[in-house]
Amino acid sequence: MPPGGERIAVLALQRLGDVLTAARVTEALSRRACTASVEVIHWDATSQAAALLPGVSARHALPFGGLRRAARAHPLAPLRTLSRAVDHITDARGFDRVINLSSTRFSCWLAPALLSPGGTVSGPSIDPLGRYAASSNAITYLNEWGVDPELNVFAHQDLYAHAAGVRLAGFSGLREGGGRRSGPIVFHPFGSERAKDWRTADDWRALVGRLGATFGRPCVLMGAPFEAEALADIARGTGATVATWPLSACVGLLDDATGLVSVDTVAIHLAALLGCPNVALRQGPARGLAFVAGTAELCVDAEHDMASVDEVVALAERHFSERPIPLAADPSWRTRLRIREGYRDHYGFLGLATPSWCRADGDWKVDDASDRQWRGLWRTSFDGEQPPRAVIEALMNGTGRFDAPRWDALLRAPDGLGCAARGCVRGSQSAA
Amino acid sequence: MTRRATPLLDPTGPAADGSAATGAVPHAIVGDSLLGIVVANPPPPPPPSGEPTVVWVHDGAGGTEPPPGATSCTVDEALRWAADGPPPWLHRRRLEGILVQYAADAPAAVRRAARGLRERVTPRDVAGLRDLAVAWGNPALVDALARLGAHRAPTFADLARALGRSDDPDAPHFARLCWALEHL
Repeated sequence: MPPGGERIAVLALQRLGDVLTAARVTEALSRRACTASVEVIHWDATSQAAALLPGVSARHALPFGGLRRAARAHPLAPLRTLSRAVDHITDARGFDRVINLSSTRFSCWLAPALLSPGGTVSGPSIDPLGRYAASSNAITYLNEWGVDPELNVFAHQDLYAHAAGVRLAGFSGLREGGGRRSGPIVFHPFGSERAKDWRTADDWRALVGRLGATFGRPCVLMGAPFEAEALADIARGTGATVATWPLSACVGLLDDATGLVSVDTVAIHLAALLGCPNVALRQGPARGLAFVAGTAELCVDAEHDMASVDEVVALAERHFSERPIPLAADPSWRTRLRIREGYRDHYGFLGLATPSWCRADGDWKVDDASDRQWRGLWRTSFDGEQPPRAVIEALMNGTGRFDAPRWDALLRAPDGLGCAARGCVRGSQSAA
Repeated sequence: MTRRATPLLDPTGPAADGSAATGAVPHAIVGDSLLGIVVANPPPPPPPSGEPTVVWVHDGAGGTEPPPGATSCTVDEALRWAADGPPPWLHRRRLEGILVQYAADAPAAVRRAARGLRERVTPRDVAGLRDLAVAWGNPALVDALARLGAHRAPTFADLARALGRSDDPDAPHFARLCWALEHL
């Protein structure tokens, strides 16, 4: 332990929403008695999100666009810019710990360059020989199993936080206790990628009109300034307000909001940190457990077809209500949609499960139980322990919709769990 | 001594020095040299930290607007800077990077002048980069560039590998930064 405590860098070189997920890490590290300071390193385009992170004593922005543009001149230009930025950030001393919260190669190469002699990286990094180095089994899992909606069973921010040694349970978000939930209904129609967007402007307009009428509350459409025109088009005839505000101004809006309906974007992460119930309409790469924002989230994942306006109205009506009336799941949903809400298990890991108000057939429960069992298996291995053979056998014989591809992937794994899985197969074959 | 107002010649009228009588055609333009007196344009403000300087070459015909923050440069200036070297303020910004740009529909003369200026102020070959590394005062890079063949423009990966072979104590640090930039 260095005298005066550890100087810690949190490397959050990600998009806006992902930067917000660093809140739990910065808050937990700043409360430790052995911490001297927590400093965040982020891209200049995400300064608004970095400004909201609690417990941070300094924020350093790296010029993403500037580095890319300088690279078009000659290679020494961005090298000089980056080198000077690193010298300025490390201040000749370096960091005792660097918490790397992303798996991009840029971040993995950069993280060790910020260390003081004897310092350590928590999270993924690349050693001087160019070899990938994981500081914990949770990072190895993330690297090998990725964020595939069928295979992965963890929220990626949980894996980074676990690798940083941060306790997962007990984080109360940006506002302890949450807001009054008597404010407007907020909508965030446009994500960072068109592949994540839900249906058409007409459908959004119908959704805004119907939810506003159902709750008798005003509606607000959120988005970036360059989306103002498209948002105004959706708002036309609904009485909704368009708010292309800075992120800090949206904190107050979501803190009091009745709820949020959004595609996968920064708004769902901000809502999760404020305890604001949100319905996330997720399609394409946004599906699955990797990108769950928090426990206040109802994930509506499009498997083959996006949810209709009627379906989103019915789901939002219940998710925003304190005493939701039961909803019978349409039989077609199992092939078209996955509807689950976020929860934290006993260890603080985020999971997704069918909402208590949703009346569905037994298959939904089997799928939820499968996710839970796989998470339990991996959690045990993160702690360096071998799971009981009975647990592995149960997964071998699992009947959840993704048990088969997960088991196939486990059989190919070179680690101890893969060995145990192959042993189970051999055991069952010899018994037969 | 007070500075005269920047001279502006009317090509259709008589010249102030009486050259009309000799048949000479006036040629000076705003902010340029006249009668051997160099009237230097003040250097534009530096770009934001970490950003390259953008020089916008044009023929003064109007049309496409230069991007925000770009420094305007006429074809004549670009040709002169390419031939005689850039002005000191631009020369000093070579290390941070200079982007020479022009409108997508620019005429051939503008494109040729921009290409000439670009070759002069943004070296991509090993020798030019070595000069820049010397100007930076970075012995690790100077050493690494001396290990590279002169036949091509090195990439970040080439620089990182060359730095890996250097004995300079700072070389591993710069090699790591080069690998990071290779994956930006």
